[in-house]
Amino acid sequence: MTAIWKRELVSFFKNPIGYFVFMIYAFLSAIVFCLFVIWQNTSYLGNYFGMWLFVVDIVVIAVMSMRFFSEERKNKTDQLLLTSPLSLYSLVIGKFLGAYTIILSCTALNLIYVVIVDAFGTMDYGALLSNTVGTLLILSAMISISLFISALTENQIAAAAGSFAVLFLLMIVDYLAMFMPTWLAKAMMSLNIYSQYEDFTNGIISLPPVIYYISVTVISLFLTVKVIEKRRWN
Amino acid sequence: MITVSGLTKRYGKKIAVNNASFTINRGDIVGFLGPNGAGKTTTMNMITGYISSTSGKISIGGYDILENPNEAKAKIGYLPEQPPLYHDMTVKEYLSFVYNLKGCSKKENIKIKSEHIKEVCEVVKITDVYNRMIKNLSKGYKQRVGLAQALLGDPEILILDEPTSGLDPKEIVEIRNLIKRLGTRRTVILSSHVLSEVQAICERIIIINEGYVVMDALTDELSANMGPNSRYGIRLAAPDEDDVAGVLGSLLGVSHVEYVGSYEKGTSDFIIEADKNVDIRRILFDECAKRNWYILMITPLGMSLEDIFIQLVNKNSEAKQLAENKEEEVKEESNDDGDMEA
Repeated sequence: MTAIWKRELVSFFKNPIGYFVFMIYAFLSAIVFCLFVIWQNTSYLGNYFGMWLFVVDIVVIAVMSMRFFSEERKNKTDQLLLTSPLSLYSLVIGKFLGAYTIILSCTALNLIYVVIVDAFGTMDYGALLSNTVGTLLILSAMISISLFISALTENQIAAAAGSFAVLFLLMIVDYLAMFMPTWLAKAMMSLNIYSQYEDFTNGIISLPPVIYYISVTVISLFLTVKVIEKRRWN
Repeated sequence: MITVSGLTKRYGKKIAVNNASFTINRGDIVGFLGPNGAGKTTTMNMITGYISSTSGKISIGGYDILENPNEAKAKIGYLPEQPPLYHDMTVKEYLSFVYNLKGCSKKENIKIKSEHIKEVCEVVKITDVYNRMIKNLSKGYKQRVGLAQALLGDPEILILDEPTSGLDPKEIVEIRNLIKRLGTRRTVILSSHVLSEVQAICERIIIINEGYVVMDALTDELSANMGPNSRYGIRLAAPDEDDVAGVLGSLLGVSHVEYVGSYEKGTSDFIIEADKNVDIRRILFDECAKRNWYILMITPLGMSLEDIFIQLVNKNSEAKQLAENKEEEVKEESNDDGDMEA
């Protein structure tokens, strides 16, 4: 598991795509910061840690998802991984931790904005803490969903497009639910990955969203293992 | 060391491997032989645990590949047809990654990481490209790096899928010699559709065709026992006006004569096939002496693996055809009976 985690990190930072991803994140998150903090003339970081920042994360995760399993299958390096004395769970968790570390290192760029707000405004440390916890949780759920989608295909473009589409859909499902019958709308809204985050935006760390994100992560990783396992049986 | 029993793999309606059973003992060098699409790679993929079988059992050193996959896989070093290389890594980084992936540090007989990797690099002769990026290596070197990863952890079993495919003749000879050396203290399974390769490396051959194991025999026995004829290559110096082929064809026991060409001035080369119970060499000598022809060379030609292979494949196809015809006949008969009763 540690070997896989290290390999993911080294490979990401050795490739130009790694720096490209960082650049995208830095550029887009700067726009979000300008739009929702500086132009709003507020020092409340809850505005920054909102839906649009997570859309930026989705873009980054979608680009990263090309590498998760699709690339391994395309280059046949999955043969090395699957014939090594390593359990599928270790493999999937290793991949997850690798991707999670990368997205967290992108997210670490947000510290710049924390420093800026702290220097020029009044920092709400409670909101900062709750948003940090919330971000860690929502990103873990997003990464695991993306891993699952990447395990479904060996086409890297399909993996990236699929990850973006599914995660974005889970983000805006509330808007679509407005056009649906009540019973379906309720079911659709419960799938919304962002609505669970709202408590964190308001500076509250409550148990249900924590359990929700952890559950989504665990179930997605479990399904990823099952997808790989099933392919071996087909 | 490896026991395979009743191994079957289905892809939908297609049966890739059909009820294959064989045992491979410690220290054997075994060749899987068969045309492309015969089921060699599928069989290897199942033995290494890359894919699961539809039915049947695989035991590696006493461990079932499905029940104790990690213990079984730890005994195997696998080089797939396309070496599983990360092109963005150097050879050093890649081998270090595989060392960690295989959990080699936990093995008792393995030396310190750097020493073990160095030793393996020396065996497969990649020390000079140790710090180079894999993507910049030639195909031959990539194959060697693939072989190095298979050797990491000092596995008891080496499984090599078409290890010389796509290499140039010099690299082929080097890889073959390397595999022979590795086979002195390991069980080796290699697959190939190049018959001479298997003949050159393996002591035992398992021939697979259309998912069936059609033959399992020692390499020497295989060419000695197969075929009804004894074959000789001969070179004769005879007057141009004589019908040499006609005379040879009329000799007692000769079933086939083939003119090969003239490789020496005033001589002709032939391949003659005769019944096994006739020593054609004596008859040939008497006949040539009588006609004042000179025999410059007689070379016994064992049946080549190509011939054996074609023969087996044809036999297998004929047997299958016969079985299908019989099945159809039985069906037709039962339909006729049904019509009559109606």
